[in-house]
Amino acid sequence: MADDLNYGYKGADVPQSFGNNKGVFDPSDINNLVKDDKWTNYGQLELIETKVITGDPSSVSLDDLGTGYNVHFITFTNMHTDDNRDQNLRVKVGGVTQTSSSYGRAFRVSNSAGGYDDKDATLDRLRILAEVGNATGECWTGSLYMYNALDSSKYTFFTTNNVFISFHPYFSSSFGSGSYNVSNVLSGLEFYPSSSVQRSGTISLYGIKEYS
Amino acid sequence: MATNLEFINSFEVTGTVQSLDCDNIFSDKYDVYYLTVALKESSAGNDQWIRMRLIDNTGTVITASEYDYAQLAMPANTGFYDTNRATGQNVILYGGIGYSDDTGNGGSLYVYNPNDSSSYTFLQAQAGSTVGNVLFGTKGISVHKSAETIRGINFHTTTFWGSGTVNVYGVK
Repeated sequence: MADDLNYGYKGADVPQSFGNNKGVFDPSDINNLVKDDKWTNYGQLELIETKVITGDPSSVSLDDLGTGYNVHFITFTNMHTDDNRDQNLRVKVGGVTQTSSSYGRAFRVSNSAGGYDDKDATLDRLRILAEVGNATGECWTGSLYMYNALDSSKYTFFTTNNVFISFHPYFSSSFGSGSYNVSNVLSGLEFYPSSSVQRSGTISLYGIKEYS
Repeated sequence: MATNLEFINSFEVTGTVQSLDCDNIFSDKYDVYYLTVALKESSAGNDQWIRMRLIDNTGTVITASEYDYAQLAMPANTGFYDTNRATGQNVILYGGIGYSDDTGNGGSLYVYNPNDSSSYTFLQAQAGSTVGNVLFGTKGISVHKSAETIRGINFHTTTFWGSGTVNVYGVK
């Protein structure tokens, strides 16, 4: 039995918020609460897009970062390039890939030969990892957090964790950070190898939902 | 049944502050918590580490010398170093959650077993921030070496934050 209140039955208009919904609600009430971002619905890792790489593209783009997210989470599964390639990332602003030397990276690789550090403070791309192999079974998989991508007042930062088999071949892991040193609202991301094409793999982009 | 991350609370910097209490966030509902940390200094050039302390079950920030930590610092323009480590400290100075600068920062923090009165509380963080416009990556671990119930976490700095948000999620 709906009434003239925005949420719930007649009587006192109880304040509603995520995690604090009180009353009995009909579907119309719930629709209003969802619209106003006040309905408790757990599961704050929200899938925005999954892209399965086929057809050997030179790059793969994610052109929808959703709205309202301060932190995004990206997974990479069974990513294949040609032999001894780096996996790179560039951001997009207004749909345009940004190629200025505004990217920083710093990550550590651990492998069966000891590992190494990989860093650059001013490059025209963000290298996520390097030296990926492509013999049978060789690929990379991992995850990446992206911070402040939709905030015009802050730089965009990244943290990554990956495992891969290098071209040597060494079983390897890497972790580290990255930055895009421009305060801007991003519209998307572009992934591409250091040369040749992206052979295969799956990239999923999630937004981490928050409530004020 | 809900899965993955479950939002618990959001804490926002209002005004110009040196400290942000995230209280009443840990409970018996989860064993593991995920926090996103984005704090921005109020003016340029201060570049201070984000410090952490835990809050006990009475709401008191723990200042006893019960923290150990270790951090790998990864500046993008010079060699990495792992000398940011210590035992028996009264604050987690180098916990891996990074610097705050006026360009903002971005970090992820996992907290393990805070509500378990029979276990230490363990933390793991990874972040990106800038110092002098150069990327400064960090990855760190820390522990509160007292088996007690923890209900919150305090972030603080020796300079000032002008904006920023900490969001807290339970890992289901």
